[in-house]
Amino acid sequence: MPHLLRLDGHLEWGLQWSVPALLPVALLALAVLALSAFNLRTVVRRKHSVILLLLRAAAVASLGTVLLQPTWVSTRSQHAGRKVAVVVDRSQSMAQGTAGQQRFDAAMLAATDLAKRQSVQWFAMSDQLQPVADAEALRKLGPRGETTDFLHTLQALAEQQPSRNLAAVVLVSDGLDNALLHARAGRDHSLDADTADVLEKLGIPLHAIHIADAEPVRDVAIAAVRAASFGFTRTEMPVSIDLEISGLTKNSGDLTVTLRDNGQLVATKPVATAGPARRTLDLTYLPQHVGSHLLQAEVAALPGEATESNNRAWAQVQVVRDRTRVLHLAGHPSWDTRFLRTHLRADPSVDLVSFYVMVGQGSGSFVSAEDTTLIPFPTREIFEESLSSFDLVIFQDFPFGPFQVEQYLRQLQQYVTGGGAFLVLGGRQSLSAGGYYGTEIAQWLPVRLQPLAGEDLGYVDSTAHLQLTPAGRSHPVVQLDADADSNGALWAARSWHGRNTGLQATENASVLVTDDHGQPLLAVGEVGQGRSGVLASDGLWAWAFPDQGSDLERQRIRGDYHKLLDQLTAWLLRDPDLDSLRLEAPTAPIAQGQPVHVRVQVVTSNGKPAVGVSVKADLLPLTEATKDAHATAIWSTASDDQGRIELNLIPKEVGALLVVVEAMVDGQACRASVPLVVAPNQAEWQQLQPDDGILRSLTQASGGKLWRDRGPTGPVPLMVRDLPDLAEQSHDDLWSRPEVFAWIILLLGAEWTFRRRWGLA
Amino acid sequence: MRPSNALIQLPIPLGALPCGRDCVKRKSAFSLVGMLVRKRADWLDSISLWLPLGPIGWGRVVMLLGLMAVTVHPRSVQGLEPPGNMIHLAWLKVPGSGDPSSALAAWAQEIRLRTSVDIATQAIGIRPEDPAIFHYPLLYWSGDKAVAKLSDQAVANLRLHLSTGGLLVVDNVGRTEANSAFDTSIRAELQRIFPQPMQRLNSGHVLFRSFYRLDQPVGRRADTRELEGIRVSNHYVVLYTRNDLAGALQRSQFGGFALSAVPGGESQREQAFRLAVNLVMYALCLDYKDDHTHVMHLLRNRRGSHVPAAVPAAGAEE
Repeated sequence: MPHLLRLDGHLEWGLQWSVPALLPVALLALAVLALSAFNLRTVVRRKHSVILLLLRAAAVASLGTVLLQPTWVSTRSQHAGRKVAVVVDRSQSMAQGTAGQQRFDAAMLAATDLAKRQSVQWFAMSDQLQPVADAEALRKLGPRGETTDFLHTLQALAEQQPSRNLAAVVLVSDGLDNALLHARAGRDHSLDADTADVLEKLGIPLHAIHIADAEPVRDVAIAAVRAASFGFTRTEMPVSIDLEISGLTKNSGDLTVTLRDNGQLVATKPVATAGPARRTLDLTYLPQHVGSHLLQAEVAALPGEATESNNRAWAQVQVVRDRTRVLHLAGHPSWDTRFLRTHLRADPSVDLVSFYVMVGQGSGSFVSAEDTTLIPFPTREIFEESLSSFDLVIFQDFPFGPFQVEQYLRQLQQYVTGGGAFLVLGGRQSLSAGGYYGTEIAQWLPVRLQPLAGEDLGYVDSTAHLQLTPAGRSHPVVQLDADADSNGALWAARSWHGRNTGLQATENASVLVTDDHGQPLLAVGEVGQGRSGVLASDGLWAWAFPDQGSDLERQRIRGDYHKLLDQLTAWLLRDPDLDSLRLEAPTAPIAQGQPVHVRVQVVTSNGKPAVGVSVKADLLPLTEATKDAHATAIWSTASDDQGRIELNLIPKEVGALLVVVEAMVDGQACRASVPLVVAPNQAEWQQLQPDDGILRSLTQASGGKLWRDRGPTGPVPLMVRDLPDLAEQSHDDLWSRPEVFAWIILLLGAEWTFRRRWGLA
Repeated sequence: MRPSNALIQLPIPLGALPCGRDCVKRKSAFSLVGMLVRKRADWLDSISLWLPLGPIGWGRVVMLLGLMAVTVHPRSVQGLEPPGNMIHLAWLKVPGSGDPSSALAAWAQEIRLRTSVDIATQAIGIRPEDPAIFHYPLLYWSGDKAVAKLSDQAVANLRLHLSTGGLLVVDNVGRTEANSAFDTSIRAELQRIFPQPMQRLNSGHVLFRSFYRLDQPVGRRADTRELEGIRVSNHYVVLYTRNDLAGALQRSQFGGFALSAVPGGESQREQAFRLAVNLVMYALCLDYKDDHTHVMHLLRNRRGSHVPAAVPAAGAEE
């Protein structure tokens, strides 16, 4: 009760001199006054002399009093062990509700009611305990805490209890702990041994007032996206989305849950609002490309939803390629097809699907279909049904015209621009010689085709001596020797027999190898998300079957055949091992406000560390529009002698982000990107409906009581103990007040003024 | 000291002069005399295989060099260059083996007629020691009598050729039956190249489906219903028929077939042609017809007994 308070006061002197020490000072003061009276005896008007003497005496007396340093000591005393700690939850979940009717408002109402009946000490809590002077100070803090940590709060109270001598604690909260206690408590809200120890150490009853809502909170949340951390390209993987719905009625309409892969929409699923509050959606996801993939599940926000910050969640999947599916279409069996097939079949990770055109256009009358094992060319099945299942499509000396492929070139273009790999190998029936000119295939080849004119067959049956171009000297596809000079000499010593003519590089292509007349023989280029390449000869097989040299030299040439094809297909397939920029970013969500550490490894085309390379880096929101964006921010640090750069980027936004890094390596513009998640701090939004489970367990364990909403109607039970009264003293130094100084100045000033006015010296 | 049985080895075998499609076009530039002389030189060269090096041999060298000088033309200057990417049937010039040029020409002609394979119709004769055998991954070796022992260089050359991608078709062209002397000697020579013994191809082997559905691997004769071969790295690098395949293909100068197919007559000859086509297709496509797609198609359109009962996986080995 407030009447327990008692106030007392007394005067103390700061100057603690003894009487013998003070006596000379007092005598000196009296002597000064006596001398003054003596001097005033000559004043004509008696009245003037008396006034002046009184003023001087008052001034001397005041100075003497100040010299003694008087201090007023106030004492506030009260009965110990009778106070109640009122701890009000000010976490963000207490802001639920409309203005003026938030949970926090209800909590303050209950707490102030309590304070009218009992002596209280005010505390606020969220992630820690915070003493406050009164209810008004607590109200000003508002419900802004980012965590609700009951255990930490009780630990702090227990530590302060010996000095505060509290008789009870009343915790006013919605009960939504989201820290250690929540993690440790089971579904039945049972308390662990550590929490029991804290309550025992507290030593007083813990009561609670549970603040609930009049209406259920209206909210839909993606609680989690669950997927394997590793997946394989073109292999379906299950994705589970945990959805939590509350406060919706059957008439709220359907919800739509979307799944995005690196910003690109991959699945949509409608969800009826009627049904269990917690449910799991099972989707399948078909990874298309190797690399780091960020899956984002999102549900559209509802009107009047409590929060939108829990409407999306993420899972990161590292996609690798376990098997490379290759579609190999050959215009006719040849030595080039034979050795390419042997090369591809030797790789156990290659899943090869081949179709060779085995009958010539004039062979029909000599071959009966029932006598042969020939199968119809499955054009429709390949290009309409199965195309997307292949990682790499090879046209080897393949004249697609007679096989109705031309009508599917648009599908093929979509396949390539969508991230597929496409390779044309030359020959008498390929490129311009194979009728490619004027068809849509020219749109995604790295070479521009010329029409045939006159006797030009588009193919020359002679030996082409090879030359690496400047682009080829730094391109990973044609690095057959680690040393650049040796590599150039090696290519200059090699040849291919037979070459397609009338080719010109396109603007975005890299011509890597030419003949000695500068005609492109090997060119590669980017096409949208995919890549394409042209090797304009059917004579590469001679490298696999060299006709000269020692055994060692032949072995080297055969090795170069396989190396060139491996590197060419790896580049077309965007094998990360061939990238000049390789990024390592955290796969786990990064806490909001924390820097993002990204390691960049810069390597040259022949795989050596690139030293002294500056990179541009940027951190962008990951959307379909930004997934190919360029970096704008400049990071000035150059790569070290290991070709490494450590980036510390500060995210300005939360959610799915894309780290984009660009650099010039070996004269080539290189770009790399990796997605990551900056998780918003939404601990307060994990659970929205008030829950008294933990409060009940705490109050039961400490012998306290649990009330709802407005709290108890009478005093809360106390742990009354026989303790001495507590007294608080405050000291007021009267002598150092400015009013005292002014008073003395006023006396002296008045004495001087009167003296001058009356004509005295 | 040169061994007594050492044979003349020309730096450029005349029979190996390149002649593909382009060659056909350029023949118009040659004089008729030049062509005759060139053929004559080829004939002499074949005869020379039997001549030991000696006073006569040296005279022959002079004569051949003279003929070469007469027949030299721009194309032949490029004799060391690869003959291009066209398929060539090349036969091994080994003492004891015959000259199957005309049979191989007929073989190539059938390939051109029946398939999409870009093959030269003129066969190439080449010595096994010649590095140029690497221009011709498909080699043919026939004979009807005991073959001479190969030089070590020839053995090494053939071993490298066959183990790195080549295929050798061996044909026993004995007139009335498989020649046992050829059979014995060829097995001995093949064993020098690959020590492993030859094995029979089972009836489900992909060779019997590489183009035609083949019931019997017969030739001009049908003495045996089987093929033998030597396997290296999951595929056959040597295939041996004892049924005189070349005899079934060979045509007379008047265009008809030179020899009768016995006992099956023309239907047997057609089977021989089909075997010839399948051999080339096997050389070029290996186990292509074992691919999953093809096997599934064959099972759906099942005919005969050569389709394997079980469907192999797409990557199944032979």
